[in-house]
Amino acid sequence: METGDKGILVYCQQHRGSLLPVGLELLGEGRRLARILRKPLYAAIVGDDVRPLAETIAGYGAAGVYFISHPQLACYTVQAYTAAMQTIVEKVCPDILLIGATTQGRDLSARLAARLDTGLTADCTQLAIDPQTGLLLQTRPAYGGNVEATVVCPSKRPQMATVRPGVFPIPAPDAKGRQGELMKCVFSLTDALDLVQVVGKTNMPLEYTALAEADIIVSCGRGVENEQGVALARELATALGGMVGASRKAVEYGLLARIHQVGQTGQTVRPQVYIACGISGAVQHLAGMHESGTIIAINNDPEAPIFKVADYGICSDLFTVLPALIKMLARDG
Amino acid sequence: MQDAIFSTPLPEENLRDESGMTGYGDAIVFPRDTAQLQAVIKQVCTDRRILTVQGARTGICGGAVPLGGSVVNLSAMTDIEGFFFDAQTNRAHVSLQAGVTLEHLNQRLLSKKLDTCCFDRKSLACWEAYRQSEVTLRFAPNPTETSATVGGMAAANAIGSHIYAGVDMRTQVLAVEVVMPNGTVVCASRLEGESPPLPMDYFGNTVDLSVHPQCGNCAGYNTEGDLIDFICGSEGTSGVISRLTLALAPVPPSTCGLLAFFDTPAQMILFLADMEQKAEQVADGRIVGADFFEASCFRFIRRMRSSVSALCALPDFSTGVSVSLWLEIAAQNEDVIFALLEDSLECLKNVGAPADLALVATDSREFSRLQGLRHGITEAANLFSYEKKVFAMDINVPKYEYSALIARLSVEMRQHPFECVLMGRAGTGHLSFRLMPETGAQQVLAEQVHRRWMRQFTDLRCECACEYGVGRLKRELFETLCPSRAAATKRIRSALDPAGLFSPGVLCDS
Amino acid sequence: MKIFVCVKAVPESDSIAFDQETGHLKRQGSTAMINPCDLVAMEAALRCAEAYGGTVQAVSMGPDSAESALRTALAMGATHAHLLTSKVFSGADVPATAYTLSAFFKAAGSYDMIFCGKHSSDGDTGQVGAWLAELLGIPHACAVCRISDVGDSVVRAAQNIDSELLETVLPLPCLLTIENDMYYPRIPTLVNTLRAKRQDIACYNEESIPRLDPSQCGVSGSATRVKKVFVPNRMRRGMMLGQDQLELLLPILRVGRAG
Repeated sequence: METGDKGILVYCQQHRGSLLPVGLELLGEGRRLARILRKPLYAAIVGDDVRPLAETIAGYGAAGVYFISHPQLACYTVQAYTAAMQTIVEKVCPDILLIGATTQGRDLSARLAARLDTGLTADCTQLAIDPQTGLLLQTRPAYGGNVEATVVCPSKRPQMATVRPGVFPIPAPDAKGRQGELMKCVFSLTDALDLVQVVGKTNMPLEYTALAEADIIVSCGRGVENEQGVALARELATALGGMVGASRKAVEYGLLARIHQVGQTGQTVRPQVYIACGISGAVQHLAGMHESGTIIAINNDPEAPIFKVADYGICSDLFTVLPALIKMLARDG
Repeated sequence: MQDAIFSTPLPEENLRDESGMTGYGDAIVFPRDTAQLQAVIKQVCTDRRILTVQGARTGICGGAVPLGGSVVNLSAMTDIEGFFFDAQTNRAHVSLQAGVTLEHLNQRLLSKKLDTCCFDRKSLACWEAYRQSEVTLRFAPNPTETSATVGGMAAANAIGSHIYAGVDMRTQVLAVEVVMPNGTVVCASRLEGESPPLPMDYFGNTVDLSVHPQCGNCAGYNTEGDLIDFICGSEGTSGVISRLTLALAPVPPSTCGLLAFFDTPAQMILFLADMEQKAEQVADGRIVGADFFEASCFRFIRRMRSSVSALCALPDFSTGVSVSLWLEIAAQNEDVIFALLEDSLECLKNVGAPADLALVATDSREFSRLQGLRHGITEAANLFSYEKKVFAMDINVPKYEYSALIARLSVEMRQHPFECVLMGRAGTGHLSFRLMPETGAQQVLAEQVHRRWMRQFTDLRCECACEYGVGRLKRELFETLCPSRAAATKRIRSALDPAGLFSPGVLCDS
Repeated sequence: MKIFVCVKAVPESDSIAFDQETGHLKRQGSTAMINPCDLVAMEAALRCAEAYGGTVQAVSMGPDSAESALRTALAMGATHAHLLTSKVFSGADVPATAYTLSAFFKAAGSYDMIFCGKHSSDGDTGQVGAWLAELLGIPHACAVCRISDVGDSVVRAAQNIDSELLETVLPLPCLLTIENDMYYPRIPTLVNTLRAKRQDIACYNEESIPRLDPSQCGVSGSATRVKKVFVPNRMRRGMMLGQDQLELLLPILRVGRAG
């Protein structure tokens, strides 16, 4: 990949004809970075019949929206999407390429970065421009969130980074109502892309997705102990309109099924509010929820590590605290 | 010191323990120290009110279920008060109030983090020495329910797989402070320079203490040792344990678990005997646990797997085997472990067991998963039997009858239409089973089987094992299998608590 | 059928230390265990091999301590284990790791499938699988939660992608990254554990892998560089509340509720 100088390119993911918010979030951040670098901002979107979506994106500050519409792209296969994005990237020659770190985004960005022979930093929580070198400073958590690392890609281009949904806010459309230019690209199908076929598509059951997307999670650790404790957690979750999560120990102890598991070998969640009940706060669990907005910990053990990462800690018996919280919410109406 | 917490009416949860029984009562007190506890008991005596003692309410025999009167619950007595550690010998003990839970104690010892506000200078120095040392200590008795309080564990003489090496509460409690039913505080200590009184000393010659000699760790009072041996296993009827000093042991540097499968119980017994011999020849390794599971357990797991998540982490077990043995091995280092594992493969082949099926857990994750086998089966059985009548038995079988009895029961159980599970502590001749009928017809059948088995066990001179205690639900078993022991227990109990105020109905009729 | 599983040895969580200057993990002296997600990948591979006939081999790139991860793989049932270890390989980021692995696979002869775990507990990028597939020029599928059929030339798998379940058919050879909850990893048998302890692990360095360009390995082959590593100032309030202060949480819970 030759040295790109054509600015910042943001990949906007679409899902069944709708735009995922993360693309717009990255356009907002992209705008900020573009201003600092004094370079243009571009957007990219691929799929089947994505012109209307490209038109929507055009109002969010990108100077140009590159899009590819092709029936082969109706369903996500990494092969076809990588080839499509490669076409766009070779046209735009961006200095920086940002992709939302959804499952698709993480997969696509890895294959694309390998295809382009460049560097990729995944799950960034912060982006900045180094004032001396003009390099993109990509900051991400490592070791289960124990530390954060700032990474740079000194020579290869584009500098690629993926960012989790919800890290940056959704921006307002361009204040002056400016629209970026729509640039339709042509995508040449090769036989190689036909080899992988999607033969079926169904929606995942709600329980699977709901946890990762929940705004509030009431999570059960080993300290929840038994069915009564789980029932209390469920009651609180219902009262808050949230979902129930679990630590690995709680799942292995039989309190909740595996789909509720949060942590290194479970799901990664970023709710606004995470209420950890009877969870000790082992590193493996923190890895899955340390980016939550507000962490509230309820644990009988004053030495529990969870209190070091919580915003609010209640060192008390959860069998007293949970009913108290439920009562309090009921009174509050 | 804060005041005791007093509450009336009784909170719902304090009417129950893990037995499924629900009780009733007027009031509950949570004392914070011995003085407050003593005040409660004196009051109860004066008012002649019934009193039930509770710890963490993890018992499955209804011992903590109040049937009228008041409850005294020790879960607010959670101070760890003193610590001793000798870095040269690794000898250690800890003094604490009875309401400390097992998991809390072991967690503090593992993390080497503790609130030392109650410690005197000597304890602080010992704790510091422990923190600097490389060894990790734990309290060795390992019942699966780690949320139990140490006081409750002592009262029930709780045991876990480590009973194999003779580890129970009686051997690990070094000192105990008890508030007797008449309100006096009694201390018994085995620490250096002290020796606890004998039960005889305590009673004077007023009570006939002769109790039938036992064949294993039997339920009921133990009058053959010192006062500590007597109090442990007395299930709260000899007074309320307020403070204890517990012996601590170093966590072995290397452990592993072996789950071996056998075609017959006789093969398993032979294998265990061979392994014991091999372990003796090795300086730095030994067997610390040997629990067995009969085929009914695996049939039950297969059936319950989809509805009980505690079972999902367990491997799929093959259908053909007759019994399996969970062996816990501890050693100074990995090499010794592997040497013993090589020995175990040889022993398995020698007895003709299907050695290919044996599973081994060398890291802590796999170890917890397999160790969870017992807990998983018990949990599933508890859920299964909720609101249904379940026949649960724990017995000690004379050694020479052990494998033949397992084999006979095993054949019979295959033919029962109702669910049942059979397991036990292989080193101590212990058998544990549950019959779980689901329909009315099955219930009738299970009753008959239960009666027939009781007769069989009596004929074989089996005894009521102390595992899980007697409480209320095992009284019948206790009285049927050990009639003279039960009679003696009743006699002693009336001497301790003539008014019948302390946990009436627990252990025996008042 | 030959299935290879890429496994990584990661530090046990209590023993993490990193070099402040290079930003690299100090791997010396930390106790290593197999990356938990790789256990699931191993289990998936073993079940495939059992169902459709075949063998499973494990590969790892890392320092000497990576051997423990490979022994676990052998104990689970892998027939062979390969360790790619050399100072030249160390300090590698994802592209350099993928390159070194790809050189091994190109020299390895034939394989039908390569399985990878979802991500590692230390680096947590979740990219090596896709990158390796690209370098090998083979198709791959991420987030595989079910393998429904393996034939002579294709595999049929279900992918869990962003709230959709996609049934995908891929030609062999291909690479699959395995979702965390696909299986509970098996407990090793006694026989396999003892065999694994005694078995030789094939070791490779920059000289024993044919056509390997050392400049594309390790630090020199890395496209990214860690500029600094720091303990983040999380700005968590760390405020302890008594049972009588729960009302203070109301505004927070209300905000979360409103969503």
